[in-house]
Amino acid sequence: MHAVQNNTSCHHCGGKCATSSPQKDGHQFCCQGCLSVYELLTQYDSCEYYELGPASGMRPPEVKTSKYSVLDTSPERSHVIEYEDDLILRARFVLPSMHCASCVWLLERLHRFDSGILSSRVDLLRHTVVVECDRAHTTLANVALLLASLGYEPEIDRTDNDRRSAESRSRRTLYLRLGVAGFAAGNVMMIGLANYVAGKDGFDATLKIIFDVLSIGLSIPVLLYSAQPWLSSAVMSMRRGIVNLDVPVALGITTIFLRSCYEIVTSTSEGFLDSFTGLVFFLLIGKLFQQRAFASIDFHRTMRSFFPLSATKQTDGQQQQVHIDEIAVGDVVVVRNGEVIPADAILLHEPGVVDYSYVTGESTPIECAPGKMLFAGGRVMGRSLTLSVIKPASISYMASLWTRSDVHTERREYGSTSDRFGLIFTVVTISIAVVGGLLWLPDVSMALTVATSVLIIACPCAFTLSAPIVYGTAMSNLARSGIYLRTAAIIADLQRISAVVVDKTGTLTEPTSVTYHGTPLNPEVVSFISALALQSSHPVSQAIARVLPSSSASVSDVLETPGVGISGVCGDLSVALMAEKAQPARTGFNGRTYVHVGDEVMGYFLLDHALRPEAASMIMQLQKDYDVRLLTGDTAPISKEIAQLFPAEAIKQGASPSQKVEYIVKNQKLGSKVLMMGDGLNDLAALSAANVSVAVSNNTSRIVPACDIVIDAKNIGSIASLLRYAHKLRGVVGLAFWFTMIYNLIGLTLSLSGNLSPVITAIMMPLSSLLVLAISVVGSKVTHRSLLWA
Amino acid sequence: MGVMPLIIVCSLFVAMTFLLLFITITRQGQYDDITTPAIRITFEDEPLRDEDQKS
Repeated sequence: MHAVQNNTSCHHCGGKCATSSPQKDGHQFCCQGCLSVYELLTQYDSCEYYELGPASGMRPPEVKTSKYSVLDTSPERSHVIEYEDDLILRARFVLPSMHCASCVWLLERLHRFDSGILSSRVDLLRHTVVVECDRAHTTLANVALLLASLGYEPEIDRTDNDRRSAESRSRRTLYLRLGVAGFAAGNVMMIGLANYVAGKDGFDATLKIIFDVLSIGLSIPVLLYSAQPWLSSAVMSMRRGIVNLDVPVALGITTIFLRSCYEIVTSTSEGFLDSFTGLVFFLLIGKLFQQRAFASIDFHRTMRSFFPLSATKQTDGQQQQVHIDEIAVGDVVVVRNGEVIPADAILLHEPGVVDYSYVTGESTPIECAPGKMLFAGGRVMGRSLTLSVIKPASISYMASLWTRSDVHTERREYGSTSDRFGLIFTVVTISIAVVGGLLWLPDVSMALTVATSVLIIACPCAFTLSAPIVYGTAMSNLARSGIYLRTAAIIADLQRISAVVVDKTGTLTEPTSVTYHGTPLNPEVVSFISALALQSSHPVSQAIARVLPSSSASVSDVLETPGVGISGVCGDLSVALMAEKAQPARTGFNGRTYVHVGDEVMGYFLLDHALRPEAASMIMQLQKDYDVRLLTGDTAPISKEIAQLFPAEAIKQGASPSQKVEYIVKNQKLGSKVLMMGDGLNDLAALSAANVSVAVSNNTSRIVPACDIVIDAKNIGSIASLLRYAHKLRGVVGLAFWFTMIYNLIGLTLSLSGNLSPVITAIMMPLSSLLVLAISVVGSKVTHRSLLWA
Repeated sequence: MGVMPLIIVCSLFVAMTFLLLFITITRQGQYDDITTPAIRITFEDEPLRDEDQKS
């Protein structure tokens, strides 16, 4: 038994204990939940758990029994169940909170807690547990409840089973490709070595034929099976009229293979089949790294901490923000202008307009009449909608909208950076090869030798090998620090950034206080204004709604114009919250939001903003390397603390959303690559126009599928570090790339001209891939360590 | 040197066997999770009395 400890940390989870906290067996616990897990563990004789790591427990949340009972009846269960017959049942749960060896230990001993559980098996990388249970003794809901009470709240993974099994198939295929390539590479290298050692005298003719046949025979499956990802990707991109980086890689490896076969058949030399198989083997290792990194990010993405998305739930006229997980079928939710519909639902009451461009790519908004079914992922335009939910919401689905949005957005008209690079690279390589060949022309065999040599030397395998390792690890490192990138290619885009444009309201500043000035309003009007302000998710509206008493008044004919304001009709009164005093004048937002009732201006709300604590140091850090601009729609004099951060010419005030876009496009025409930071509502258009867009999320009810990077407002200080990090990563990939270019150029020129002994060539080729691998792995470790998060 | 072809064929046969074995176990899913088994092996064996209670 443990000695009584005098410290006040919880024996189970290590959290702080209050003086009145529960005690048992001389241990202190921070809450009843931790105590009950401890009791469960002692009761079932599992105290060994605490020996694996002190205070390693997860603090259990308060569990709602009702939440899991749906698992026994509803169609939800199909997302969980892997196999089921009359006696047993196998279910797969995603447990975001599992993280260490102790978790594995505890979760694989579930049978001690519930005799109906036959076995449980954990996959720590993918954070899942597969539970097999006896249907006669327990139910799915009981298992889920047990997991939740141990502190591992299960999340229902709604990715369909087909996609999941496709993923696991592709994982296995990669291992098989790797196995085949490794097998062939080992054997071909051995044969090659024998060939080189024997030299020109050679061995007897039979042995020579056996060796030749074997090395070609072993290389064929490598080309057709192991190298297939690059070959098919190259063919596919050519068909779509794009030249990506896989094209020169495919060209390079096919050329090595064909030329080696030709040389072996014509007995001119031993060929490079050993290099060829080795190269494919190392390329596959790079892919393996990438896949593992993505598996861990994929999990992070779906985690609650990243997408703490909330929705506005309406019960008895009261509106309340709840996590989208807690939205059940039958709930009534209100989705405001610009927000994304969290779950499939039926439209109630009034008609509205929905934009499905994130889901289908179709950019024309659709008018919907009451009673129409609306799908999750649609964005509400204009008036807010009241919906009745018919399917539970899924965070993973919402997260996938974001990652997939690249397919739909048309803004990447030039293709991604790496595709553009691939095009230039391929064109240059092929022209050098053709020109080099033509120069030798009367001598056809020499011309072919030169042309193929160029293709082999210039194969950007180093890039293909190191980029996935470096960028993949970087993405998962960043995800752990609270910065989420949509794709790895964004790191390459970040490196080219030369100017940073920052929005003010909601990004650099946060609202602190709201005061009303003007004619006193009667309570009825106040309730109308409160209801109107609730309709919008604009930070100013939200701030006003927070200070007013909540209201259940119904507003109709709501019209929200970005940069202008919001208007609506309550009862027989038309009310509006406008950034300007009189309709025609265009003055922009000056910190005052005018209250229009009927035709009269009653007064205004004055909004005070304060600079976020991290913002000043972030701006100063960025200014060292970038041209930082402040772009704001407000016209009020900018507060002193912000003004002194920027030189006067870097501040542009009173910009309407379309002027913001023009401003960015103008800068891009002047040759700068613009990174735009904004909150994603007023700036949506400007964000899409920028080369890299960063959505600063302070209001969690909104995702901005069009942006490249999502960052929590608390973390905006780390943007400067992120840009520095991107530069260093680019340096690592560049180092690997130029290293092999020069290495291959020297090595192959020497060996082709016969100045290098074949044995040395045979050792040098795989060595170069190994060195690239080492540069990438060490490089990404070092850059990450040197990164100081602000 | 006449024995060389035979040796080569034999060694290749052995290597092939291992490749086929690898393909089979990968297909069975033994490589699906390579993180957790590394942790699992560090756990103490279940105490014996647990077994006694069951029997």
